[in-house]
Amino acid sequence: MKLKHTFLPLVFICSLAGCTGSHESGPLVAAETNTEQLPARPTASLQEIMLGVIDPNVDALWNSISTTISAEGITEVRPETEEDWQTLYHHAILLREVYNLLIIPGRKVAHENSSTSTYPTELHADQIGNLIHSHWPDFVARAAALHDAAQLAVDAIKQRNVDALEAAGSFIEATCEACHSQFWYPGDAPPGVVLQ
Amino acid sequence: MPYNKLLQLALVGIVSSFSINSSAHHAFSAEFDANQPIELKGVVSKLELVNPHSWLYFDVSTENGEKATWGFEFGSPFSLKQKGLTKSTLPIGTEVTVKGYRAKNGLNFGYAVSVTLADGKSFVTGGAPDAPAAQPAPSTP
Repeated sequence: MKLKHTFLPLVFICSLAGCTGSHESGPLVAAETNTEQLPARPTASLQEIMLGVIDPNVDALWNSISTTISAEGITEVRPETEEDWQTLYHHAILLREVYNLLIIPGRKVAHENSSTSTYPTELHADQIGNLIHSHWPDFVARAAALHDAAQLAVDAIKQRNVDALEAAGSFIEATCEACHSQFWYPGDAPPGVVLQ
Repeated sequence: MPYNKLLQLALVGIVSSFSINSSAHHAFSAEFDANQPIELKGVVSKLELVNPHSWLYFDVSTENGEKATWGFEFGSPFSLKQKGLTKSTLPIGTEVTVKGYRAKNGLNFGYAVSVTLADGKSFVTGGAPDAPAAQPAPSTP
């Protein structure tokens, strides 16, 4: 049963992360586990997840497509080789999986002596934590929106569709901004922009 | 090379590198000043269409007859495309009028609200909180 052995570590890892089902491996996990009883260990702070997991993976997706027009001509960056697409696929599935990291209860927003408020409009960690705690269903929905936007990227990558991947990048940005606007810098927006 | 030309090239380099430094997510008012609306007319020198934010650079003639390069943050390539603005809309040398808000650092940067071409055609360019119209609905966890 080589296939079964291959899947066992994945099932174990996914169970630890509180996986409740996805397009590719959900039923296999959801039927066997009770996520409320899993001994999750949310050691990294939310800030560390942002900087260490989300940023590098989303940056790779965003930077994979660009068009620069200058006096030197037009420079277009696109994923071209099979290796390029495979690398992007790995970034996209990691970004999609962040949903599970975000919704583990009890995670600190930031460790002591780490600032989340580089600018006055950005809240401090305890303020962010209070907002998340008091609006937990909203926070989970925002995280789910990131999962769904990342899924668009996964789908685009599977189809080797540059336009769809560029659009997915835009949706990912929108989900990031929506969450930050609610929990990190609430009420801050350019004049005339209505926050959703 | 004349000193002024060297200075101009150096400034263009500094302005062009700004978007890389400002790519990290922050609040609008962290970088831009809602109390400093600005409108500038100039000629396109560079356009970067890239997620999460595109950047337009254009040369503005100053009072003493020299050129000042400005960089303005735009929305994502997809959101711009939805509004009809693509790479063919803003080739080098295109005359543009950009409305927006100045950067707080006092340098030649801003957040673009709209760009208008010489023929009067105008585009709302948006920026960070400018979510695409067809945003997928969040799933219920």
